[in-house]
Order: sequence, then structure tokens, then C-alpha cells
Amino acid sequence: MSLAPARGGAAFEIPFRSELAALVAVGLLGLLGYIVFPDDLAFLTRLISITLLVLSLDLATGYCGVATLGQAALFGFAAYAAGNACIAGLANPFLLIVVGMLAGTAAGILSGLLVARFRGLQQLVLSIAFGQLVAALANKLTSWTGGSDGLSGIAPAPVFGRYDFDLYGHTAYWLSVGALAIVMAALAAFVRSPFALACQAIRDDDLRAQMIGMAVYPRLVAMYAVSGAVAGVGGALSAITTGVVGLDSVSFERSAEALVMLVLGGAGHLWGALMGAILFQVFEHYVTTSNPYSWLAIVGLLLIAIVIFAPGGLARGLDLALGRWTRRRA
Amino acid sequence: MDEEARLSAALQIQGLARHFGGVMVTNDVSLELFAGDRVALIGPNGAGKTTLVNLISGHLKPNGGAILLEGRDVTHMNAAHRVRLGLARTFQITRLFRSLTVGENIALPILQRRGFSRRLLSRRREERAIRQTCEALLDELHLAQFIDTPVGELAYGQQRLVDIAIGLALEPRVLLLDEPAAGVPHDEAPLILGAIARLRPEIAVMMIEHDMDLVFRFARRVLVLAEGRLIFAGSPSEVAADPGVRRAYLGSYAHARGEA
Amino acid sequence: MLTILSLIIDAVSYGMALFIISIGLSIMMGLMRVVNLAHGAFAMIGGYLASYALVSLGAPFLVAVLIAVVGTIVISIPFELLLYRRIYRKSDSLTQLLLTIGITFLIIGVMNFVFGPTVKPIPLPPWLSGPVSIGFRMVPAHRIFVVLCGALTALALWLLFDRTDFGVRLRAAVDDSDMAESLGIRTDVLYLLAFALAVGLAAFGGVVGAELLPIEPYYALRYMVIFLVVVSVGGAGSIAGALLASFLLGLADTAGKYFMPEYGDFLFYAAVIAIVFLFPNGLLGRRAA
Repeated sequence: MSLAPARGGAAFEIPFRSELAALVAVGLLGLLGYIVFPDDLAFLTRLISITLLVLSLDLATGYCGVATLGQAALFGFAAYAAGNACIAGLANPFLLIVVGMLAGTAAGILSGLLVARFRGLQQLVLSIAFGQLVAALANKLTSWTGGSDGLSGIAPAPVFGRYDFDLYGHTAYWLSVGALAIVMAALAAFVRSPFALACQAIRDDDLRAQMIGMAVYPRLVAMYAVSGAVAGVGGALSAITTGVVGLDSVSFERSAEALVMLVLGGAGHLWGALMGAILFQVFEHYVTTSNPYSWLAIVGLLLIAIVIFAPGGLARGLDLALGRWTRRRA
Repeated sequence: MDEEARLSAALQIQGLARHFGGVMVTNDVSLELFAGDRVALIGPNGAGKTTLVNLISGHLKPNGGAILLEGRDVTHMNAAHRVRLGLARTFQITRLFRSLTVGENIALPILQRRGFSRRLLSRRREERAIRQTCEALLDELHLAQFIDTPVGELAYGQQRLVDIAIGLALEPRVLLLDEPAAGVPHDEAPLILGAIARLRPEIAVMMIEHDMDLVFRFARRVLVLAEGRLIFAGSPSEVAADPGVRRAYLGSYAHARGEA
Repeated sequence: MLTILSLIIDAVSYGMALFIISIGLSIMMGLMRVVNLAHGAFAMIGGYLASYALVSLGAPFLVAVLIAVVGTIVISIPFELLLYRRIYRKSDSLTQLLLTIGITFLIIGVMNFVFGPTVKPIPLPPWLSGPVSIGFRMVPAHRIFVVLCGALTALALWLLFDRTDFGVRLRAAVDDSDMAESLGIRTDVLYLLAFALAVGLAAFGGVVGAELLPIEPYYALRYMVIFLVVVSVGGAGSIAGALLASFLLGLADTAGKYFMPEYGDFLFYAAVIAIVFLFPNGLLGRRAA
């Protein structure tokens, strides 16, 4: 809820200011990416889908204070859902994104019902167990997921009937940029809502929130539904743009990495989460080692460093550096 | 007070009981609060005052008895539900939403009360209306200038005021104050006293307090709790004279009033 | 009938292995209020050290166990001094989560770098390898060994907490650390000792239980949830609770593997979720956190 004072005497106030800013900013970032990595659009496209996962995690962890290590389950479930829908004949990429969104929302609600029920250690345990349960299912239900081989042969129809998903990845890239822009704009509006403010209050002190009459559990589940929707968009995009869905999309490592990216950028800040996701993945792109274990050690060190030196993430650091304690949570 | 109002007590406690282990911390307590009441709940340490308030507000489940809020049985309802029905309380230790501003802290109960807190999108016009309401409320408590300040930056006494303001923003029928002046530095205490004096006349207020000065200035009725039982109910001037009360305090109160 | 018996023997020994490893985590949770997701990583280090000692150094089994326990404690001390100290008691759960996951990742990476990605065997000495008769049946000696270790651990810990000076101080510090400090109890030394105890137990459990929980780099992540559930459901700091929870989970996991091996994992996690929901106050009615 934005309680910022009305600009006194302003004759004309642009409606939807922050939403438009979000659209423009993401558009500009997309353009920047296109110029800087013209031959590596596939990497950027993947980056965007993971960024959506991180944004969804921000809603659950940053805004609600629910510590979860099972968020990838929502992402991966939506990816498999979109993938299966495409293989079954639904080829319109926009509809596939909608399918992903719905699947993500459903998974989000289920996850929320489990994870938001308790606090503390039990909450953490339930989030991990849920994630692992979905991963185990993905492993077993090979007719839907392709098991360890993954789901392949996802071939969406051209966007608007004209733009093919070609090998150069232009269509995939701009579709993803567009999706991210719309999601960011929607979230920019959402985090200023009374609902989001209520969730932040729950994060700060859920007992006090109850004491002003809020039913905490239903609210958290509702937030999880929104979070699931965002993850779902990311999952669907990942399926459509790469044509495959693998077990790694529901893995614990995926959930943990998303958390690292979120914390790097700053939990509880939308743009922080975005920047954290982008920076981390760019860093990963340049530092890729052939050995997954070395990368794990690097991520571990990074996490330790963040906790010790920059607990609020980069967003908090920027806030302080710019000398203003921003009231707008976007 | 006219007969009709008398019959519909804002809060009615009937035979409330609660034990921990083998100890009865609340022992067959019955009381009534009416609209406009100003009641002080006093008693020696360990008498069970906070436990009683916890039972009323719903943070603790009773082992027996009933609680009625405006005639409605709320004994088995959870705390949040009771708040929605018009029961508010403050805590001994201030609990606020630390990362939010003073304005946002106050806005939340207002939004909650008006049913807006589930809105997924907000309109600018509504934002301005809410802000005006917050400003008005904070103005009464001389806190209007802090509306955009993060609540953690306020002095403790001011935070306590915000705590009370949240209680007021809920527009309750019954307000329970758990030692509102506790922990407040001496020079900030008048702010709290002023705020309590300005509470809306129709609210039924019950306050736990140790500070006898405050009790005398605030209360029209005093309830005394000792070892989980209500041992006295009467006016403030009657309290001092009652031998049972003096016994309960082991003469400490009488001593403080200069009557050996 | 024979299958049921095998199942019970496997479940009990698996449960005991879980207990030995998890009780350390339970102590850390109860005393220092730290959710240490890296606990499994320390158990893993113990396994690696023992394997190295047995295979490359040719040490006798019990010596290898000693090397594993002492070695892991030594390795863990810097972590305690530099990192864990910062998060005792006062920090929020997200911080603890992140720090301990970071430590877990780091340890996994380093272990793999030093020892390679393959499963490390812990060859058992002859007196543990064969079957042993318990009257009406032959049972693998190793399983008996694990159960005995578990029972001894439980007994030793109970004596430690209930009968020794250290135990008294520990319990005082659990109840109220500020009060304990003002009584002259050096809580920082206490925490260090408790940490060492926890890690040592983890390493011991890692070695002893290696037949049931094989040592490989992802060990730390694979079994993370299980240890957490034991503590969550058993109640932090409760020996009886940890025992009960370990058996329950051991049974759930083993039964899954026996009767529905294709769906073992799924059923196990479903059981975990069910257990947490059914026992929100822990198995013994005391909350874990």
C-alpha cells in the first residue's frame, strides 16, 4: 500500500506510473541484452525464465517471510504441464503460457497449503519434502515427464502466426522479454496493494497480524497462488523456448540456486530480485566450470559471503548507498 | 446507565478457569464490562492478570467457563476472529510491524476493518482516503509528523503510542490494555496517559496496571485478582480500604499510600 | 514372515543410524537454536575420513572410526569459530538457512575435489561382516553393531545430560542463557563443546551407518531432509523423541523400499509430510522450534 504523500499541487499525475516504468525498464534491459549478447540469445532466454522463478520466490520468501526450499517444484510442474499440452496439440505459445500459469497456480496453492501451515523448522521441512516429492513423481511418471531423459519434442506454433521459433532464438527471446515486462508491471502494481502490505505485516510479526484480525493462513496460501502463477509463466517459457523439460527443473539445486539469487539481490524488493537473478546468471555464464561440484562450492562461498557481509542483499546496499530509505516496495 | 444497556454487556466472562500443571492460574473468574467502562485490573505479581487477558483475547484456551462478546459466545473462537468481532488488545512488550512505516502500521487495521486488506490492486483515490484517516488518527496522538517514518526509528514511548493507535484504528468495542505504561521512560509517560484519557467514551476499556497513580486517574471501577481469583470489585477509593485486598498485597499497597 | 523380520531388522538399524547422526542436530537446535542444514555434511566428512583411513591407510576399523570422529571435529572447529558463532540464538531462520546451506555446498564441492565423485566404501572388518545368529535367525553382524552403537549413544548421552556437571550447565544454558552467563557459566565454551559433540556424533553415525547411507558427495543434500524431520518431529534436545522419530522414519523408508521400490521416494516424502501434520507438537507433545 503506497502511503506516499500526494504531490501537492501537481496538475497532472500520470496514472500507472510505476507499472509503465516497469514495462519500459524491462524493455530497455531486453534491448541491452540483445546488443550485448547477440549470439547468445538462448542463454538470455533461459535467464529470463529463471528470473521469473526468482521473482516468484521473492513473493513467498521476501514478502511473506516463508522460507522455502521447494519453489522449483512449481516452476517444473508448470514446465511439464505446458510441455505436455504442446505435445498434445495445443501449439499457441500464448495459450501455453496460460497453461503454465494455471498449472503453477494450482501447484502454488497446494504448496502453500502445506508450507504455510506451520512456522520454523516444520515449515522448512515441509517445503523441502514437497519439492522432493514432486521431484520423485517427475522421476517416476515417465509417460508425462520422460523421466531422466526429459520431455522433448515441444514445438510451439509461430507467435502471432508469423514469427517462427527459429534457431537464432529471436522469437523466443522477445517473447520472453515481453512476458517478463508484463509480469513485472503486474507485480509492480501488486506489491503496492493492501494485500501485499498485509503479507509484509505477517512477515514482520504474524502474531500481531492476527491481533488486528487477519486470518494469516488463508492469506499466505493466496500469496502462494500468485507466486505459483509467476513461477508458472517462467516454467512455460522455459518449456516453449528450449523445447525440452528436464528433471533439473524440479530439483532441489534449482530451488536452492533461486534462493541464492534472491538473497543476492535482496529479498523483499522486486527489482532487487530481478537484478540478483540477472547478475548471478551472468556470473555463472562466465564462470562455468565443467565440474558441477566446483560450481557448488563457489555458490556455497557466495552464500556465506552474502550472509556475513551483505545480509540485505545488493538492494539494501544500494538503498543505503543512495542515502534514502525507499518506502516504495518495488 | 439505563436498563437496556446494562443487559447487553460488551464483554461477559462466566466462570473462566485455566490451569497449568496442577496450578489453577485462573480460578472461576466472572466479570462484566459495559460500553464506556473504565476498569483497572490490579493484583500482586503472579496473580494471573496477563493470563486472564490472554484467555479473553484468545491467545490461551480456557479449561472451563465462557466468554461472551456483546452477547455472542466467542469461547472457542481464535484470536483473529475475536478481533474482527470487536475485541482489541495491546501487549506488555510493544509488537509492531518493524519494517513498515508508522502510517502503514496504522493503515493495516483500518484496511482490515473496512475489508480492503484482501484487495490485490489499490486505487490512488483510496490510497489518499486511507492516508487522510491515518493522519487524523495520528494527529490525535501528536504523532502525525511520523507518518512516513519507519516504526523502528521512534522512541519507545512513541512506539507504545503507535501500538495503542493500532488498537484504536480497529474501532473496537472492547479494548484490553496490558500495562500500557510499562517500559516507558518517565518523561514520555504523559503521552500515554493523555492517549488513554482521550479514548472514545463508548469503548469498554480494561487496563492491567501496577502504577496506582494511573489507576486512580483512569479507573471508575477496580477489579483485584489474587492467585487466579477475583477477590474484589468496586470503586478505586473502596479498594484501598478493603482488608482482603490489603492482605493480598501483604500490606504493600497500604504502605505505599502512607497508611501503616 | 521372514520378510517382515528382515524389514524390522533393517528398519531398526536404519533408524538407529539416523538417530546417532540426528541427535547431534537435535542438541544444536535445542541449545544454540541453530537449524544446521550442514549437519549431514559433517556426517559425510566422517564417512570420507574413515573410508580413506581404511582403504588408503589400511588402519584397523576402530582406529578408522576414531580418526573419522576426531578428524571431523578438528575440521569443523574453524566453521564454529568463524561462522556458526554469528548465528547462535539470535539470528532469524532465513540467515541460518542460507549460511548453513552455503557451508553444505562448500563442503560437497571440496569433498568431491579431494576424494572424487564415486561412492566411498567403508569395508567392514571380519568380525562385522558375517551373519550372526540371534537364536532363530541369522542377522548381519553389522546391523547388530549399529543397533548396539545407537543404544550406547542414547545411554551415554542420557548419563551426560542428567548426571554430569557439563550436562547441568548445558540444560541451564538451554533454559536461559543470559541467566546462565550471569551465574558464571561460560556459554561460549559450552556452545563450542556442544558443537564438537554434535559434529562428533554425526561423524560417528556417518561411519557406522555407511552401509545404509552410502558415502558420496551428494550425501549431505540427499539425507538433509531426513535429519531435519527427525529433529522437527522428535523435538529439539529430546533423546527419547529423536529415538522415536528415527524409528518411525526408518520404518517408513524401509517399508517403502521393500514393498514399493519404484515409488519408494515418493511414499517416503508423503509419509514425512503426513507425520509433520499429524504431530505438529512433535511426537512427544513438545514443539521443535
